[in-house]
Amino acid sequence: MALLDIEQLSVSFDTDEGTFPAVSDLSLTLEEGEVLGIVGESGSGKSVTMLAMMGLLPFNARVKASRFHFAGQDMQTLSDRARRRLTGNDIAMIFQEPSTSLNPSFTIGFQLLEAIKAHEGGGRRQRRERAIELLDQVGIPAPAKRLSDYPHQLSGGMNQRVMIAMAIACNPRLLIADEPTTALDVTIQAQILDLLLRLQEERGMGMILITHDMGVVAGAAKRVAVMYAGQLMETGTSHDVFREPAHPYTGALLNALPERHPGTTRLPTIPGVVPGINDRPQGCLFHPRCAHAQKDCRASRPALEAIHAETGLGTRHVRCYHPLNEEVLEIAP
Amino acid sequence: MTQVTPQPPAAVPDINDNATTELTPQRPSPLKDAWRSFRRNRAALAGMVIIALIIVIACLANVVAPYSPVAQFRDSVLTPPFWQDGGSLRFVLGTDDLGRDILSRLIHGARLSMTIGVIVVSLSLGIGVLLGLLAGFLRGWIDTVIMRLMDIMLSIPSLLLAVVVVAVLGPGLFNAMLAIAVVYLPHYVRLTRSSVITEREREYVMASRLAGAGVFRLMFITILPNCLAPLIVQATLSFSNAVLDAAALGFLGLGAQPPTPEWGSMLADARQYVLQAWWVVTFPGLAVLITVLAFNIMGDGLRDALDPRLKR
Amino acid sequence: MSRPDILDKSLLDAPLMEARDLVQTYQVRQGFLRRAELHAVRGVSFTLHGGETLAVVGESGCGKSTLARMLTLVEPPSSGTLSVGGHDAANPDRQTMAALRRDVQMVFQNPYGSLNPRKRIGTILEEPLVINTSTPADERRRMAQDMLARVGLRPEHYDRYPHMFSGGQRQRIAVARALMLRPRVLVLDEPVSALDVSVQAQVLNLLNDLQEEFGLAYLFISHDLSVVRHVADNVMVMYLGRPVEVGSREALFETPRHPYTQALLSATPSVNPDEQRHRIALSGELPSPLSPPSGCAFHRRCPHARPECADRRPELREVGGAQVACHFAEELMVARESGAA
Repeated sequence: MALLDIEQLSVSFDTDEGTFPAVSDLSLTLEEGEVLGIVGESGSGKSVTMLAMMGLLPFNARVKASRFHFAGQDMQTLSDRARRRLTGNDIAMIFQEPSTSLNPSFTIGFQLLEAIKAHEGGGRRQRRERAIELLDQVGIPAPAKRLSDYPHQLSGGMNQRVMIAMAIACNPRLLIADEPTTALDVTIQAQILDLLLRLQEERGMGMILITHDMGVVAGAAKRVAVMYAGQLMETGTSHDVFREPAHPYTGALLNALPERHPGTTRLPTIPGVVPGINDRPQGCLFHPRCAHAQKDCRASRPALEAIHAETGLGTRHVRCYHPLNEEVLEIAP
Repeated sequence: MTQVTPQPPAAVPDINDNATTELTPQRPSPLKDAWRSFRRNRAALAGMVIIALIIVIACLANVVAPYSPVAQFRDSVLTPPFWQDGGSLRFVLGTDDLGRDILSRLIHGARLSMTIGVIVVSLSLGIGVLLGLLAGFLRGWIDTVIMRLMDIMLSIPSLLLAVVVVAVLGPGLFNAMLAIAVVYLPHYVRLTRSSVITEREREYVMASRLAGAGVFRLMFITILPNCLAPLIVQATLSFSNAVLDAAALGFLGLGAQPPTPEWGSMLADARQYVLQAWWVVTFPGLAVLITVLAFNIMGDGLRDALDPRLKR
Repeated sequence: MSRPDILDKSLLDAPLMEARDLVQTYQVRQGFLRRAELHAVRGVSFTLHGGETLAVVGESGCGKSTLARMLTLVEPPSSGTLSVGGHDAANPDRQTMAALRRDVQMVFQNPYGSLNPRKRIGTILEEPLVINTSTPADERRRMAQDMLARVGLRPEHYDRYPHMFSGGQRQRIAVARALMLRPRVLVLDEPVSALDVSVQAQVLNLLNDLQEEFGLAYLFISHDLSVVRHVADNVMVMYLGRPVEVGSREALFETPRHPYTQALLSATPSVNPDEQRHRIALSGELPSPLSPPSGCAFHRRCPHARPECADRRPELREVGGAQVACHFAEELMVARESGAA
């Protein structure tokens, strides 16, 4: 049974200018112990999806789903309290800015002990030992000494390690990492990614890695989902998706990366901008910017459909009438 | 591999990004946005209407007021308001102990109160912003000197400080206004300084500096407009305080001198008749109350509308 | 395309910017009465010609921002020489300073912070002209609108406020502002790292076009090696205020000589599934510039460190066509090549 099973999730915000659909028709599953990468540019709805799952959206958000199961429980019929307990114990989240995710007025130890107390209880000494053990697990040198440090005394990378320690304190079954390495230096980013993947493997956690950096996902996640303007455009193994993108958006995004064009001076770009609140196009959301758009793309919005890839291992889904690389992909019967 | 349409050659400007600019929603200007969120606050809007009304009445005092504020009707001393026994529509809100029409005095008093507010706020705002800009932008010893001075001023109880200033300069309305302006100065200095300190680290300031902007340009043209929002709020709130404090000084006999129809001194002059003629103190008191309340409510509304930290 | 008045042949041959041994030292207060010296930048030298891009690569605390402040003449260097177009820019008098300032302009990382939110685009673009020239208002307006068109925006955008634009459009405006005085050197501080991938490509293309058209010299500060590989002619890798490797793009990316460069390259994520290189894991944190390690600043994190690295600081020296500050650069290069074979 899948750890996370979402079908047709939609999130919209009521604003002064009308209703803004931040996420629409989003379906995804995550198995126990699986790493899923969600890639998208800013405004693609990748973070909103996860906040909706945690019940952390502001009051003007409306969330609907035809199916929303976590660990076999229907999140939609659960009482608020039960739901909070479930998300509190079994789902943990880490954010982009480690320095602002920690409260600057309290020591690392205080905040970590607080998290342990909430989830495990136990005696004072036990909790302290557990805190030291956790800090040790996330690779913080001299963990006993660090307990009395304040967040500003540690570097960004160290603070992110503390955040990870707090996240795994409750032994979550699912860890959501929202741009966990974006604010960090390159060499530190590599360290943190390695740490996250090691912990994920050791503990058999499911992990959702949200990022705008396709390179990070390619190296870390087995499966990847590409989002655009609140919709999933393509899912599949990251090996397949990055080698043979099926959706023109994925293709164009990959093509815009400088690393794909050694020795050239001009990079291919995606014309236009991400649709805003008032200019969501009819038909496929990407068609105004798509080099392959045809008449049917303008007429109606394609659904996310399974395709069978000759080269790949798993199933792939793509929301496009005219996928790229059709010679190697074939619409599943 | 994906094929993406070839890009225009180098000489042609890359117009990709703006192709759909016209489609992107026009976001309102900061001012319009603030007005929209202000309008949603009913109480603040009501406060603004009341203030507008007071200002109009103050401007047209000579036309609106039935009598001169100093005209004494010796035959009808301490006449009650019209709905009470002995009252008449000749003096709608009654008369005081010298037979002056209270309504007329209140209307002319409004003019005085508004003037006090405007002068006090402009004085303390102008000087305070200047000192705050200097302290926040130049830092160093100038900052230390200015801020320690402000700390000393803040450590003296405000009315006491005002009384001391008036005692030095001599009683009178203008000196009272000066005194109140001095009392409010530290608030403006601190507020300006703190926003200047955060703004001056922003990259647009660096960009102006790279363009060759001098100290004065950086302070007044680049940074100051970005620090105005909290200052506007503070200005409306201290406007009401200025009215209140001027009334207090007037009540102590240190502000406006008789027969000037100032709300505070009206209260003070009439205080021995409180028990026999409630109207002589109630109406000036109500006028102060309503004005101050209206300004405070509007100030709160402005704060909500202008302060980005409180938004959404 | 090239404009004769700007692309003067004699200018192309002479370096536009030359730095020798730039040093920047700050006095930092540490508690009461205790002062420490912070060496933010030490021993930076380079030569920059028109039409050329020098990329400066490094992580936080490597001195990139301090270098940018020195090169844009905001802060004079503590020691060393800097010349712009042949004039002394390290200790210029007032007049030269004003003239030199027009030659060196800057584009910042964050397009949301670098435009004054209370000013219209036109005012922002014209500010450099208002301060430095006596161009009449209608002429300024025309120049600003021309520049808007040049960076791919519309002349109508002249009257709008910054918040009405997307991040990519704002970065175009920032580039336009930097070009208003027709500078010869542009310092670009992480100009695309705050932008989305597709927008990043647009801005990189624009920068490339402008460089060709105006014969600009770029000093491109970045931490993203895939972007650097795309834009740079020469690359300088910095670690804790000192350059550790300087060389042409080819030399640096094909055969990185310094262990830090090697680690940086291997840590840069790639989408290419075939190129899942084995990652050189660097242990430890970036050291504080206030208490740099003895000897080679990198020795505590270096996988190839030997005892002498802690004792003796390696000077920048020529190794196989590039400059590198490592005692064992030759050995490492040989080992790397045989390892790769």
